[in-house]
Amino acid sequence: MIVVEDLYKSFGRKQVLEGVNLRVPKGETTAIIGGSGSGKSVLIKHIIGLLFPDSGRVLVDGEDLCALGAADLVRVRRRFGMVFQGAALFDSMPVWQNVGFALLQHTGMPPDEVMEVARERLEWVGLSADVLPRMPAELSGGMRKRVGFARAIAMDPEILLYDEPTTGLDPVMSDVINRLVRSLQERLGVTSVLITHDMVSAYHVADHIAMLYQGRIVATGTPDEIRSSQNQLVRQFITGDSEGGAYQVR
Amino acid sequence: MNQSPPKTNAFMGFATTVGAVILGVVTEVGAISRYFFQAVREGIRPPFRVRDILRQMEALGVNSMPVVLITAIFTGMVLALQSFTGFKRFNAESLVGTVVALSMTRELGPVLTGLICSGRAGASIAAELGTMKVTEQIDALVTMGVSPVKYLMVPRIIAGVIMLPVLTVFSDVVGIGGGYLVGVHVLDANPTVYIKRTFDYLEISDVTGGLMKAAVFGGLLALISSYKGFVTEGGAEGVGRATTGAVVLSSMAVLISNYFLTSMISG
Repeated sequence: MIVVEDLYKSFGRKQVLEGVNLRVPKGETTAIIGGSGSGKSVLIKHIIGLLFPDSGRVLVDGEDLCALGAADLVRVRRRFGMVFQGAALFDSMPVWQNVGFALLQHTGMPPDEVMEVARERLEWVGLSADVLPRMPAELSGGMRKRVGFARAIAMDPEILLYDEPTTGLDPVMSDVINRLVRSLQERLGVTSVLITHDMVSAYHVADHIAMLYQGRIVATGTPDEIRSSQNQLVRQFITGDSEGGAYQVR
Repeated sequence: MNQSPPKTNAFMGFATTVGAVILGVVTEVGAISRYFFQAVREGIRPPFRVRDILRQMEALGVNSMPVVLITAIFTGMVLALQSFTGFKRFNAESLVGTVVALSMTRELGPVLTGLICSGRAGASIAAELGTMKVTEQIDALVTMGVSPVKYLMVPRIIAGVIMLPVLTVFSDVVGIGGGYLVGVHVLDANPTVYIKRTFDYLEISDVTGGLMKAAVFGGLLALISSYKGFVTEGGAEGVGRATTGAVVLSSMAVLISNYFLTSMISG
């Protein structure tokens, strides 16, 4: 279980998170929805210890990330897999080295076995072995995204974080990605946190949805509860209504 | 209405600006020092990434060789021409070879190599790491339990410390060769006398002192350029800013540290 307690974070004078409280149940998928600039990416980076709060705590199975030393933080981070918005593939390496990067760094596994694991993970995300020797620059946006998925699951993580996995993709490719998130969830039984402003994606993949607005969680519930919510902020966001009065664009 | 006199306002504005500049410099030096100590701490612990170090030695050293050699040969040639013109005024033309050799080994070889590598390799390091930062590749490293300092910065610093002295040796030899070409073939100096004078007053400490300075320059420019890459913010524009900042800061570091290193080595 991941617990976020009263999290505050500012950059210079800009207050981004203003007391976020969130519980992410083990083995389920939680989608954090919210508009641009609501603090979603900042929140997810706190959950994996890429950023540290001004105050508040992030607990991963009871371990407070802010209180851990460098070595323990690395140990906890290795329980995670993260899919970045722009895939964040290493430009200088072929696909197989990207997918097997953590294995090459941490396990001492011979390259041919790493290649085999990479081939298997790419198959899970619907890519053939043809892409193994290709460089990231030679791949389409959707393929890069899926290679990013394959890299995130290469070390059999217990927790998967997705940073806007469908942003910038066409509707069909977005559906492919949504199905992929769901299938990985079913195959691996991992705890997943997904941040998105794509409601189709959130409804499709999430067991729970939390809405972040101006640095605070303003609503939580199952997809059905969010869909039928009477909270004006939620209603405006999920229907894409910019003139409802409650939701301020900033 | 209670207003401060204009002179006081102007002074406060000046003091604020100077204070902000000093604060900025101190903050930057502090941040770079932190990265340096982290790089030392992580660099002495295994695994030692020999393949990454060799790759960086190629990028920083081998690929900088043509521009270093061209600069060195023309610097040696100009030095011979200029010193000949000056020395002719008091009939000391025979010392041209000595001056070229001492200038190249003690000063121009290491400093010019440091400046060229700050421009070429420093810009390349900052642009590469800056792009990795803004495309979240560095975050990806961290999430996979790999230290960006150990993986990206340490191999570049080691490559800088090794390759700058190597480049400087080539620079010294080619610069002295350029001086010889001009001295003997343009200014009609006697080749035997020129070579004798080149080595008569040259001591091994002149060469080793220059190489020690080059090693420090190499480490400094790799450290500063990597730091600039790591702290890049704000997309393509940020990468451009980081690259310019890396070149300016490493060049200044080379020139400023040169004075202190020279006074230490000479003293």
